[in-house]
Amino acid sequence: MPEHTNPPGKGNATASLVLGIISVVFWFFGYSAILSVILGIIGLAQAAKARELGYEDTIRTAGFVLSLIGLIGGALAFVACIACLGFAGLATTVTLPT
Amino acid sequence: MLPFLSLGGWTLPTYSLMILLGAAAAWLYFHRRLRLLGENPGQAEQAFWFALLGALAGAKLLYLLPRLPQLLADLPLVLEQREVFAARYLTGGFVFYGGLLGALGAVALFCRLRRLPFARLTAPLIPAIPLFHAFGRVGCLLAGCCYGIAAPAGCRGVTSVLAGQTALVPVQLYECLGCLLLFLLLDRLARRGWQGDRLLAVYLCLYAPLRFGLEFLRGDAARGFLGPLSTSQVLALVTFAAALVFLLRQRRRPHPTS
Repeated sequence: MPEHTNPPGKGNATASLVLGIISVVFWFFGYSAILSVILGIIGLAQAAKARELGYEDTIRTAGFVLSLIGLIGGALAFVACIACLGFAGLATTVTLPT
Repeated sequence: MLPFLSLGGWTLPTYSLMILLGAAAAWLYFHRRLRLLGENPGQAEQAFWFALLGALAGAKLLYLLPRLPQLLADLPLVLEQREVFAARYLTGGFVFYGGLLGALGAVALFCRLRRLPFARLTAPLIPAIPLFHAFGRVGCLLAGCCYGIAAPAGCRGVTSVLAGQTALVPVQLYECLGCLLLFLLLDRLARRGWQGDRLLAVYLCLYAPLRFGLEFLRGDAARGFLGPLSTSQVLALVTFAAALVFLLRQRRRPHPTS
């Protein structure tokens, strides 16, 4: 009976896909968009790890793309969120990069 | 100043857009160098993402550190007025030097855990730092943060919503130009086969005086101060000294180029 073992890197590719999906979901909950940024970056690192191990399947590509979308959308949503508050009268308490 | 950009019915924050463009430019440069060097892209890509994560954490930590007593006093706001707490601490407020040290620390940790040579892995990464930073400073100019002192009478300047309608010295653009020049120099040295540790030392040695000088032209009060010097000026002095010592020690050793 043949043994069914996962190819190296498949676990990382799957983790990248899951993290990518979660990071996109977090866009829609205001300040949790910062989690989109963090999870998106970790998802991209997992996709890179899968690539290092030679796993270049569609799961890895989907994970990479979704994590990237999560990161980009999260960054835009997060700063838009800051700016809305900042320009609505909290400018004195909100500071941008130094 | 242009804090928002309307594109096809979407209102996008220009600061984020410039940061993302900077990350994309750094990524493209990094990948091009990797191809030329024939490095394992998977390993180097992981180092890049770890660096980005470390940069985010470091930049935020260094911003919060001088504000720790106030942060602790405001902790009850987490339950009572979450938006106010988030606006004060979670959102804006990133310090470049914190980001730089965080990124380097994350890559160093990654190299240590994976037993990879730091100097080799960071060779294509170091020139990407000032490239990314240059885009970030344009983002600052567009968002109106990190603004300069009032422009001398008769000179044209830029305005910022955070500083009223006074004409200001475009200090963000000066730093952007300095970062672009640094990128060109580091890219040239990297093409000559310089390793990441030496490139980093050159970068720190040149960026520190640039930043130290430009801080005198900054007018934003949000920066942290340690006595008469801003936090970034103190860090510039420390990193300059450390990098100079490293370069002087390296001069005694044979040149690493083939």
